[in-house]
Amino acid sequence: MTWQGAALRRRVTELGAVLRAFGLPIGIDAQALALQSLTAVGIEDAEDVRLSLRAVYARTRPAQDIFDQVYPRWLRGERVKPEPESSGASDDGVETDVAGTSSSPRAASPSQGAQEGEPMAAPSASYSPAAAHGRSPGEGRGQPGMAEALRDAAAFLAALRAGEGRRRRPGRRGDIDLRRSLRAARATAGEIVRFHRRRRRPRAPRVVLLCDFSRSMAGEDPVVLRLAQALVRRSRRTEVFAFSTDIRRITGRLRQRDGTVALQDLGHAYGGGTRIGFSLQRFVRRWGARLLSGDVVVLIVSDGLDTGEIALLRRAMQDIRAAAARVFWLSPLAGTPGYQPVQGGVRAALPYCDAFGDALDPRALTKLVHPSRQGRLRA
Amino acid sequence: MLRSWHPGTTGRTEWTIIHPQIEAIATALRQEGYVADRALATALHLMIALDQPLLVEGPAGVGKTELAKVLAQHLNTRLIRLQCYEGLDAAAALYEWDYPRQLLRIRLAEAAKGDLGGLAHDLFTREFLLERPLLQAITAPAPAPVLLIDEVDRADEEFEAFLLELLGEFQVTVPELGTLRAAAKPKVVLTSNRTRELSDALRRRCLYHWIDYPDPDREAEILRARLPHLDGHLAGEIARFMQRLRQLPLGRAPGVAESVDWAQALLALGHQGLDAEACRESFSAVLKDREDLALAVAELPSLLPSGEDGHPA
Repeated sequence: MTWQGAALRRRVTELGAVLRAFGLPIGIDAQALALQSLTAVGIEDAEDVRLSLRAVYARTRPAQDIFDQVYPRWLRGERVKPEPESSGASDDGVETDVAGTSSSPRAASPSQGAQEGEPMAAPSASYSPAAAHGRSPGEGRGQPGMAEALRDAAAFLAALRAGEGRRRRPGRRGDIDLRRSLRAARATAGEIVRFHRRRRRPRAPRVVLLCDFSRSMAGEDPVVLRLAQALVRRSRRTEVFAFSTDIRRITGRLRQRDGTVALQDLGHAYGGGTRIGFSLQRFVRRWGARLLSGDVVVLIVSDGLDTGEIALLRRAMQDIRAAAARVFWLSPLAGTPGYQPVQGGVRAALPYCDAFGDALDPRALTKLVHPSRQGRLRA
Repeated sequence: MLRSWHPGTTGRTEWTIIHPQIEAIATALRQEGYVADRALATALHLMIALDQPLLVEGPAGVGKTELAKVLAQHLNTRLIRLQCYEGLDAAAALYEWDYPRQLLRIRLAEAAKGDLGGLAHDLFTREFLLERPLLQAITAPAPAPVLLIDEVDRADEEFEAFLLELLGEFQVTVPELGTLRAAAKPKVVLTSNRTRELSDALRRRCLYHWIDYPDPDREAEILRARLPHLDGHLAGEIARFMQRLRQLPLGRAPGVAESVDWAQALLALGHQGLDAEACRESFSAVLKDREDLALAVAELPSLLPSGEDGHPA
C-alpha cells in the first residue's frame, strides 16, 4: 500500500463520504479525526489502519457491520454505493445488506423486482405512507391520519403517569429547597421568611410496542406503522418490536426522518405465520430484563390468531404482566360488529391485560387509558 | 492480512508485527490481568493519542467497566467513576455547595461575634464545595485521571446533553468561584448497555468499540490471566462450555465475569474437570435465574464435553 500525503487524505475522506452514503452519521470532524488517527497509528500495517478507521467511523454496532462490508471493497478501489432502497443502518445489523453483496435472497428479490418495473406478485413489503397515495416519500409529514395519530399518542403519553423520579422541581409540598429559600432570603435581609419547597417530579413512562406483522395482519400494516411512528415521534422512550414467527427490534428504522419504513428485510419477524407466544417469550428473555420495569407500558397490537403454543403465550404474558406497569392489547378485529375475543391467543392473553381496544380506531390509545386515568402506574 | 494474532500452542495470544505502542498497551493490560484483542488495543491507543473519549458497548459482564480500572492502573493514575442512573443531574455529577457546613460556619461566626463582612467570601471557597466525580476529574492534578462514565445509557437525555458540553471543553463555571479548567484532560471511557440508543451527537464525539463475548481461546486466556492457579485444561473446558451455554435461549446470558466466578467456585470445591456433578454443584455461580438454571441443567448432556458434536445451536 503506497499512499502519500494528498492521495491518502483524499482516500480516507472519500471513505467517510462513502460510509455517509450508507447512512452513517459522519461529518467533517470525523473525517479529520480519521486522518489524525492515522498519524497516531501510522500506515505501515493494514490491520492497524483498518481498526483505527473503524473505531473512528463506525460508532454503533450496526455501523461496524456496514463498515466491515464496505471497507474491503473501498480498499480494492471499487466504487461503492448503496442501493437506492437501502434503509441505512438496521436495528440489529445482522441483515444489513451492502449494495451488490446481498447475501439474503429474501431481501433482494422484492426490491429488485420493483426497480425493473415488474408487477409484484407478492404483497408489497415496504410501507411508505406517502407513496401509498401516489406522492413522493419526502412528503412523509403530511401522511393521512398522522396528525390525528400524533394527537392520540400525545394524549396517551400524557395520561400515563409513572412513579416519582429522582429529580426535583419546585412545588408546594415536599422537602425544603434550601438554595431557593436562601436566594429568596436575600430580599428580606438574609432572614428566611418563607421556605421554598421542592418535590420529586414524576418519571416519564416508557412504552414498549409489540406489533404483529404476520400475514393475517397484512391489511393493517399502515395503521400499525402509523401508530408506532406516532408513539416514537412523541416519546423518545418508546421501543418498538415487530413479530411474526420471530421478533425483531425496529425502533431505529421508525426514526427515519422521511417517514418511510422498510420491513422487507425483517426475515422471520415479518409476513409469516403468527407465533405470538414464542415471539413474546423471546422478547421477555432477550429484552425483558432491560426494558421492562414499573414505568413501562406494554402495548401489543395483534389479531390474536396464534398458530403457536397457547401455553407459551400464557407464560410470556404472565412474565410481562409481572414486570410491566400496564399491559394493553389492541386488535384490529375488535371494532368488527359482533366481535367476541374468542381467538385462542386473545383468550389466553386477556386475563393479563389491563385493557383491550380496537387498533383501527383513530383514538385507540386514548381510549385505553381513559378508565385508568386516576392513580399512578405501579412503581 | 486478515488476522494478525492467532492462538499459539500454549493457548496464549501471540502477536505478529504491529504498532509498538499498540502492542505495549496490550501487553501492559495483560500484566494487569486483562486480555485485550487487537481492535481494543488500537482503540485505546487512539483514545490516548488523540485525546478522544472512548465509548465501549457490549453485553453485560464482558469487562467494560474493568477496562477503565485496568487502564487507570496501566497509566498509573487515578480512576474517577461516575455511575449513571435515571435522574442523575449536575448536582450529583458535578458539584454542590455544602449547605450544612456553610450554615454552621455562619452560626459559629455569629456566636463568636467575629467579622461577618469577610465571611461571605469565605463561604464560597473550595472548602465548601462538594466535588462530585466530574468536577473531581477536572480539578485532578496531573497525570490526567481516567474518568469512567458507567452505563451512560441509564442517564436521561438532558444529562447526556450536559455531558456533551463537558466532554468538549473540560471546563466548568461555578458562578461563585469562576471557571475551573482541567489541568490535564482526563481520559474518558464511557460504557453503555444499550438500554436506550445514545444520541448521534454523543457518538460523534467518541471513538467506538464493541466488546463481544470472547472466543473460547481468548476466554481461556482470560481465565488463566485472572486465576493463575487454574489448570490450562480446565480453563479450556470452561471456556468451551460457556460458549455452548451462551447459545441457549437464556434470560441472562452469563458474561466473562461469571466464567471467572465459576472457575473460582470449581477451584474452591476441588474439581479437576467438568462433569455433571461438578456443574450442578457450582452452577449457582454462573446462572442467576431460576428458569435459566432449570434449562441449563436439562441441557447438561449436550453442554458437557462428551456431547460436543451434536449440540443444536
